Amino acid sequence: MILTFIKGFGREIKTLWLDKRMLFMFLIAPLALSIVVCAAFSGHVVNNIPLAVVDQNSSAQTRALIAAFDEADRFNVTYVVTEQDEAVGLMEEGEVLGVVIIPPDYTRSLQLGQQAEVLIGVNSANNIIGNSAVVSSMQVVKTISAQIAVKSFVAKGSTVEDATAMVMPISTVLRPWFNPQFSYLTYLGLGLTGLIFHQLFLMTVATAFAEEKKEGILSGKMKAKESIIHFINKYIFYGVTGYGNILVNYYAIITIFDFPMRGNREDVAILCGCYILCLLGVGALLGTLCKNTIHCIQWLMAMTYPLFILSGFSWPLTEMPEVLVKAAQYLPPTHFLVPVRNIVLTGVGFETESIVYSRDMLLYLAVGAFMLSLISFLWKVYSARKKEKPKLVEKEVVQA
Amino acid sequence: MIAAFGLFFREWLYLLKRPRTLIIMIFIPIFVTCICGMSFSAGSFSHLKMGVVDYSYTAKTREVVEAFQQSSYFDVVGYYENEEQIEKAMKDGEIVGCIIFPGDFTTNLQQGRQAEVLLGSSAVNMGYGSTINLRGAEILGTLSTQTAVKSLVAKGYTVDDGLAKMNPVGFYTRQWYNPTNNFGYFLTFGFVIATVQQVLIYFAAISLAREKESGKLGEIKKVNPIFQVVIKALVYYIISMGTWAVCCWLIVNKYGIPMKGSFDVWFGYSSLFFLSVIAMGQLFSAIMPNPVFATSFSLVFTSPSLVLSGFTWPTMAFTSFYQKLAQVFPLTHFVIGYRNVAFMGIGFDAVHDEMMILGYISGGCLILSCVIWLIKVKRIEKKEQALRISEEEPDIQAVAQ
Repeated sequence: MILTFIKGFGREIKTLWLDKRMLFMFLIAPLALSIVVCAAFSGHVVNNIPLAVVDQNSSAQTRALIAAFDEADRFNVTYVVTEQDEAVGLMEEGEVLGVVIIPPDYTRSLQLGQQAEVLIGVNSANNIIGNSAVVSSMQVVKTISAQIAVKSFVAKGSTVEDATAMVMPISTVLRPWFNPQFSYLTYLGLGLTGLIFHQLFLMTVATAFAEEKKEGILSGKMKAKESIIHFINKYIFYGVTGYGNILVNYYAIITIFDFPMRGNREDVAILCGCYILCLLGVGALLGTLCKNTIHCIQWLMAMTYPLFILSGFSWPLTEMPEVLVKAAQYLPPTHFLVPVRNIVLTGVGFETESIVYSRDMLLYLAVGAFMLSLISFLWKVYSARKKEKPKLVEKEVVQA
Repeated sequence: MIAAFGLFFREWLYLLKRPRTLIIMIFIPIFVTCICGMSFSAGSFSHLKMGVVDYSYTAKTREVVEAFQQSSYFDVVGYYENEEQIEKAMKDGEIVGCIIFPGDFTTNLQQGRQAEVLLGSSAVNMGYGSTINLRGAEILGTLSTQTAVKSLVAKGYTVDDGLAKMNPVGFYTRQWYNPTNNFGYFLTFGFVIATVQQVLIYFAAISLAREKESGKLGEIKKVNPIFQVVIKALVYYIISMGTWAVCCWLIVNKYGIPMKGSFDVWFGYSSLFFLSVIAMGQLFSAIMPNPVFATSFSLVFTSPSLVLSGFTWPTMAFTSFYQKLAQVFPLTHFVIGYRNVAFMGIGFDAVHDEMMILGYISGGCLILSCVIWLIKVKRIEKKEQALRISEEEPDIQAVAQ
């Protein structure tokens, strides 16, 4: 039995080594794809958002306002036009992402001591970029407004400090916690790494089991006992290599892209272990249930985006309807992507209830998936042997 | 001609005989549409849980807190003693943002100095962060102006004069094309289109390779290999357009996401996108040695496409290398353009460049896949012929003997 066990390991290594496609998908593709995806966000924040200014007044004051927008890191005034329709046209063509409209009475209102109004329009089809642009444009206009008001008070003998306090009695300091740069990479990088690994690891495990239907342990040509030993062998082999692989992936991504590691590495490692156990079960179940490798890949490809949406990684579960929240509890990425991000970025660990819950759920799911995969495996071995039996009898008869 | 029709129906029969295939091709995109519609049904963030650290604790600070409480965007869940407690509450998920008043907040206001307030947000999820920054800054800005104007009104100014003096440049903001700041508008199209692309490229990628693998090339040899490619592409085009039409109908009619573009633009632009995806899939299918390689390659190829399409992170923020790389994916030339068609109601003029690129991708990939497939089919035929001759030779020799 021990010999069969050891031989089984050799068999797994040989199978993986000989299948260059699988070797690439398992060992190289997850890290390579994660690096490609994370590097895309390496700019961290979106600056130089192109703006069109509709200057219906054209004076020194309006030019000062335009210059203030242009000098802000966040914006680039790429067009100054006189008609609103022209600016909207530019927005529709994708040339600009925002419009500042200065009305014809802007300078006159300022001179008469009336409030002058400016309209700031931002293309909010992408909410996150839109919201950030609105906040930044508000800051620009407020600064200009405060400068004008302060100047008028200073002209009457106030100090700059007093005048500023009069004009802007409350100043707001924005502080994005745990992601001070308000970086897209920090927000998405770790989750996308986990999701890419999820898909490619599941594909490898499912393929490894599905391929056994041809001539291997699920072909019915092996003894039942031998098949079970190989089943455990596969679990251990892919479990160990997969665990090493996911740790390398996260280590590389955190190091290369300078993620702040505020939590314990051990906590990430433990959660990764639970995740791998879970994925092993799901992969084995998929591999035994699907007819062949292609079918496994089909299902995995189809489920990529539903898994990502339901994991609560981009749109939090708290904002989803209850039925989806309940469904999401049975998906491994739900209990891994957000918790890992929280450990790395916020520094929480197993002292936090939500992380303990995620670990426990991953373990429950792992046990469930293992049991189901074992039942499905045994059933497939039994039915394969049943199919194979008449052939063996026929063979024996012919030989006799 | 009859053979071509035969192949067309054979392909349909192949798909209809396999319910799994149809489930994946038709129902998965619809399923994703429903998931998106349901998940993002809340639209925007509201009742964001906020904590308060008030080192000043006066009527003035309570007024600020009350202003947050009154807003539908925020729920003030409680007061905390210090920043450590706030940070812990954020880590535990009790709150997602905070307002911190320094000890001298009220004193500064009373003594005519500027008072600072810190608006914090848990930016681990940028959805929370961006909403808190925007809505919180609006509330605090309004309060600041109110306080400033009040001080002038107390000196005998009218409210209008006071406002003009303290805030000479006012502004109002308009969030164009997504006025309610709805995240469903932002995300739904991207996920649905990416899913349709994923399943479509997959099936296109096995469409030719499976004929080779199954050894059933003989069944379709009456049809010219070039037509084999075209007819298969037509079948997948019909299915994908049908599925996409259902998804779009659901998006508009069930989930209330607007579609301001005309039917012509929808049809023309979508058709070019799906043709380019199918042609690309068929190119993989013609090149790759077997269906497993073709599907694995398309999986790896499509994985980064949504990120690189500029859908969440605009392409202008990419490095030039990534900007060039993004051009390879049909998704890049459709997902943003289509969102603009839907929200802005733009016409062919505005998406002309994207449509041209999709046309080039479709044409280029289709020509290449036809040529490669033609060569492969000829090679296979030659091999088969050689095999037949070698099988017949011993028979001839036997007859001769």
